[in-house]
Amino acid sequence: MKRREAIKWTTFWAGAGLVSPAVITALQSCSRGEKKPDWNPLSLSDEEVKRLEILGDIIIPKTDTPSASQVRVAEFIDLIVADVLSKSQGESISHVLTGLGKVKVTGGVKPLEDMETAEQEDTVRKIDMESYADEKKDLWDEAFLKDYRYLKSLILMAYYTSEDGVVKNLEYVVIPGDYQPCIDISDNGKIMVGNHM
Amino acid sequence: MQKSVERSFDAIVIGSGMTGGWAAKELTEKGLKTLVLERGREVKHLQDYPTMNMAPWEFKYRKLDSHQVKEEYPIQSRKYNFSEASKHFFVKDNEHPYHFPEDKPYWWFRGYQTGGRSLIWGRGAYRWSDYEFDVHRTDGHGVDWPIRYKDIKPWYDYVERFIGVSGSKEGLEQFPDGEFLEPVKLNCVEVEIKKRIETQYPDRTLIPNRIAHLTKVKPGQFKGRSQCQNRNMCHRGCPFGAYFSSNSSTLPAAQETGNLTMVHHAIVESILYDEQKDRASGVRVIDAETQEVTEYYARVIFLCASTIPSTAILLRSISNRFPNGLGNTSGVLGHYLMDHHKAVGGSGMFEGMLDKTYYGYRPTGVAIPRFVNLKVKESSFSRGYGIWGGASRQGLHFDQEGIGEELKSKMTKQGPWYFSLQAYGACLPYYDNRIELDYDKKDPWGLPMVKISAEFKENEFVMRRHMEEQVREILEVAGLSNIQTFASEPIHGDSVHEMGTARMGRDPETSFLNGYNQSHEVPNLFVTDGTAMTSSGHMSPSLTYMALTARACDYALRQMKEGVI
Repeated sequence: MKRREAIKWTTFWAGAGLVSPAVITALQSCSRGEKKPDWNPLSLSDEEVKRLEILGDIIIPKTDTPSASQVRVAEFIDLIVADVLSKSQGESISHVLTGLGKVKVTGGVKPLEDMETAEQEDTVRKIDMESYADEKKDLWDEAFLKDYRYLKSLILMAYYTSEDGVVKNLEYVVIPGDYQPCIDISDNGKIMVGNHM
Repeated sequence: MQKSVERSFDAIVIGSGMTGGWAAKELTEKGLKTLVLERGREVKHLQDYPTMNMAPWEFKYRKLDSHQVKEEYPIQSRKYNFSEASKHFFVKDNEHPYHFPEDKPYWWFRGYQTGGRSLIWGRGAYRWSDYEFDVHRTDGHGVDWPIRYKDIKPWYDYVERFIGVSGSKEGLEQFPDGEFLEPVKLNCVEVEIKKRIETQYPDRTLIPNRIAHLTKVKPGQFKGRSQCQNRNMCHRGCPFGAYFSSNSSTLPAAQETGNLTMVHHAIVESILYDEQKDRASGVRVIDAETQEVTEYYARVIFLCASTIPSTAILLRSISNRFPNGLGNTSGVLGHYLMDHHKAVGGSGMFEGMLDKTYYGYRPTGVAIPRFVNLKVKESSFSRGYGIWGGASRQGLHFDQEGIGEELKSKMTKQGPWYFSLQAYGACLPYYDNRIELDYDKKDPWGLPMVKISAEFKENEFVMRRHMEEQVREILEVAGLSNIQTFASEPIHGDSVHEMGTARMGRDPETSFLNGYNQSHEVPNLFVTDGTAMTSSGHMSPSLTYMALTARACDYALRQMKEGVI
């Protein structure tokens, strides 16, 4: 998370002539996997964590609310792979993250992390569309698409049960008081949740 | 060793849950020095509800069950209200073993602590009618209840006034009205579906569920409890004391009298029987932590440990006079175990009303009271069932198409309305559904292990087909789309309404207790938990247990005054 932020800001500063090109190169190279996460993964490899963070931030990017990586979605998924999920559920996750290490591109395969941002987004968008399509195009095999949807649901769950995921996105009301059975929905129509969720 | 004077009481109550709390309150308020024995740890109201205000992200696993938790709680973790937020109110299965035949799984859900399962119950509070108390006359199964609705009605009134039950007056013979607080309200879609159901069927209605929640507080009535705030976090213990539990209500009331002594970690090994006096004389207790054995004595004993432990205690209480368990000359003790069968239901989508919603997290839903086997009898099965459910807007939906900003915006919007129903049915009393002691296997306190063998049979399975058909029909009448129904394999114990193994009846040869929950053979022994139930009904039995307990206390006090016991 910090690394990605650093690159973004560094690029900004570089544009303003505040950082030397050498620093930019160093940061870019660390985005290519030499640097480990700032927490200790319990079950996923550093490479899997890196891909999970990229995937998470494409599914839930930073908007006016935080991104997946800002609420540490990968760290939570790593934790539940270690302590909560079944072996086969863990394998489904690895299946997706391994698959994202060899995305078919013209003339061969390429890992997600080696793509430019736009290409990464394009790749994930295609996977997502195909995983929900009635007719498959055979770009990805059935099992991969099923596992992708599973991992995506975990990313969304991890995000929307985190503090910022709830407080900054939803109508978070801890003590409603009186139940009002029939009211007009508000303009934003947001889901209301409390601590029961 | 305590001095014997400290070990003698007017009354001993075994268990501090739903019924033990009531026995404690009634007996202490009438001046009896009362000892309450609880086998679990102490849980004080408010002080010992560590998760009651916690947010989801404050739980390490966001309330998912870890591998370790599933290993420690293989049975308990199956329950809908078990999670990281409530697991401290459930027993660790691996510390409290019991067993069952491989082909007849039995799920025994338990909470060993002050208040027992009253902390984690579903809170449905229903009066049973003479369609239940008089059911034997109509179908001949089991034995006849020794009471009718008129006998228990004043005690339903009495209990409801103290615990607070919300509900709507409906005038239904099979679902008697009570002394209700304001009903929980139906939401817009439920109001519409109610209209559709009632237009279609003259004999069916959809009403607010009746639950033991304070929808309004009547001043001074509830010992510091306050109004439900619609957080829907009841199973963690309520900071407002808004739902009824022994911890928030009956036990503090008993404490206030100055007549209550409570001992925790007290496993009752057996009830002592004095052959000369032909009375129960006390109990032998094992300290769960130190294994130390202590005896306590009293004039009257209320067994309120919940069905399976109460049955086991009676089976362990052996003497020359009662070699098969205390008061068990009839041999019925341990037999006729019942539970409601569930896992039948359905759901569908309600189209429209997308401009309407609700505010708050209502801690319950709606009920469709029983409509089968009332005046007109079904030919294919005996007894009845009820249906519960509710409508809500779809909340967070983690399996939907899209990525990026567009998905984030979609994710937070309230989805369409869904309406779902689940049915709960009665179970007949079968002799071979039973609780036994296995002397070849011991629990960690050296007591013979409990063995439970129970299954549902043809009457329940025929009823289940009817339940599923009717659920589907009602969902169709409600005008829903994408209707799906299910009837999966029912497991005994899953409804947590286990009952019936020392039943009430008129004949000492075919029943264990008389019409006042009093042992036919040992007059100073009362059993007032689910053990006493003659038939299962199809509705949550807790209110009936509480009413029977208060009534039995009143009777015991009168008999003590008259010198009979």
